[in-house]
Amino acid sequence: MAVQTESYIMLSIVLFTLGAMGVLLRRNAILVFMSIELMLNAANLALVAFARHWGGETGQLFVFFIITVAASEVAIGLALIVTIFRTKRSINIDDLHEMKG
Amino acid sequence: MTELWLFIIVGALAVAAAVMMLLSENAIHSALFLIVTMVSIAVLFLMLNSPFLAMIQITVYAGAIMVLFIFVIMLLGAEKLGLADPGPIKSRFRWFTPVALALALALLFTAGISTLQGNIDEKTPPLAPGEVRVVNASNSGPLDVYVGSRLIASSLPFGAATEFTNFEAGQYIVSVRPVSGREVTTTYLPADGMFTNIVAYGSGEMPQVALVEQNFAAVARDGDTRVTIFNGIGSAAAVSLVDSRSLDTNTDQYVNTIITSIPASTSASIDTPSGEVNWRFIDTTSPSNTLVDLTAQPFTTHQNSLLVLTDQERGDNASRLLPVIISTTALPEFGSPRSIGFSLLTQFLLPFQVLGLLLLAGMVGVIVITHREMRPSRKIQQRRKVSRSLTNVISAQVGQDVSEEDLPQLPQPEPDTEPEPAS
Repeated sequence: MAVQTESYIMLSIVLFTLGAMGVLLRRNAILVFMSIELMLNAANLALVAFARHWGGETGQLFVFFIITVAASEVAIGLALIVTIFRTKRSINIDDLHEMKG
Repeated sequence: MTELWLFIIVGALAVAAAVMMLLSENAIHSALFLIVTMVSIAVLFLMLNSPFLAMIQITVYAGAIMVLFIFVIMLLGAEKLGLADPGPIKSRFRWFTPVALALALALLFTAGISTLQGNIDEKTPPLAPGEVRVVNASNSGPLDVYVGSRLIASSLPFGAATEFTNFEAGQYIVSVRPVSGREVTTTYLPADGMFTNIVAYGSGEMPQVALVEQNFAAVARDGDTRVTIFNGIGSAAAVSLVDSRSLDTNTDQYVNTIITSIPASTSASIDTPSGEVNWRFIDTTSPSNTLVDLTAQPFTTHQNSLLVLTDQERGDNASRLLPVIISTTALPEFGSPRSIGFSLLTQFLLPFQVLGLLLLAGMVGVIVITHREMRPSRKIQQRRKVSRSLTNVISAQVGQDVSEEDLPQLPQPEPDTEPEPAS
């Protein structure tokens, strides 16, 4: 194969690191969510690369499950953000660090 | 070479869009950059032989999840967040930035070293152990077949085949025992990833035995089907496979020869477009001698067929040549929707259904979380108990004013305002 599996894994690691940095450094709750989605995508890429390398389809099947779970997680997380915003009028996570209200 | 360049371009696009997503001030811009990242990851999925997942990524991730993000950003009015974002001004969080950067560099360093030095590609995937089955195309009646000491076929009738069974490495003596007559033996060595057919063919009391290998790998072109042909004709003649409709009446030759020659007791395999075929097996030496005719023989996709040409004895010493066709379901192509659906509905049925329940629970949960009690409008409570004209009539009759000030009033709440941009 022209492109080694290692290249895909390196790309997956770089994307995962960027996602982790986004989770730690951004203050907007929605941006934190989007960084989590970026980390999940990086994991999906690693899984599909290894599925192609080992010739088994279980990796691709697991990516299918991850996408489904990510969809439901995003729905519930955004619903929570919308509800919190109604009372606190802010989605800056510095203001949300206490579980009050 | 082009694949390497495509990978570099798409990978750089994914990383650049991810960086821009993190640095962007406007939340809508961040969402759009994330969509670019997801589409480039879908292109990478296509390069990794998984077209189904690429389409699912675009449809579900970029098409549904990110649209949901954009809905919520617009609903909360958070797209202008960056301008008012004070940054981590709280002193307790000021140590986040350098620690996060140091952790990121450490992760990149260690993961990069382990990936580049880890020799992922030196390991090859393990092959499945060799499998074998028995095909009876002989006229010796029902057969019992022993491989080693294991009985894998008992009273196998003409034209039937057993299921595949796998054997560990080693050398096995294959013993084919017809009902009448002595046994015929041969040896079998299982090899990893090889599918072997023990074909008993031939007329007469003692069957002849041959080992025919069948290739179950995916076909090169989608829609093709693979046919393995074994020449077991008793007259030991080499056959050719031609298209029966390509007979040129002038020269009496077949124009379209599919396989030039299959010598006796050997096999050949061919990938042909699926559908009905019009095949004719002719004697190689004398093309006008038609041995077996297969008109309108259907070979469907996703099937791997074994075709054994053999003699079938009928009464009074007459025999006719017969093809014995054993069809097996072929493995679907790697990464295609059919193969993933096959696994989802057989081996992974339980997780599939549990995920459906999870999505249902998530949907109900979202509705419950965001549900808001709608209190009735204030106007109903502010309406006078009695209309104004009637109060005038009453006060005229009673002689004093009917005043509403003494009536107990509910506290006046503030009216609902539109959501303001988050501060």
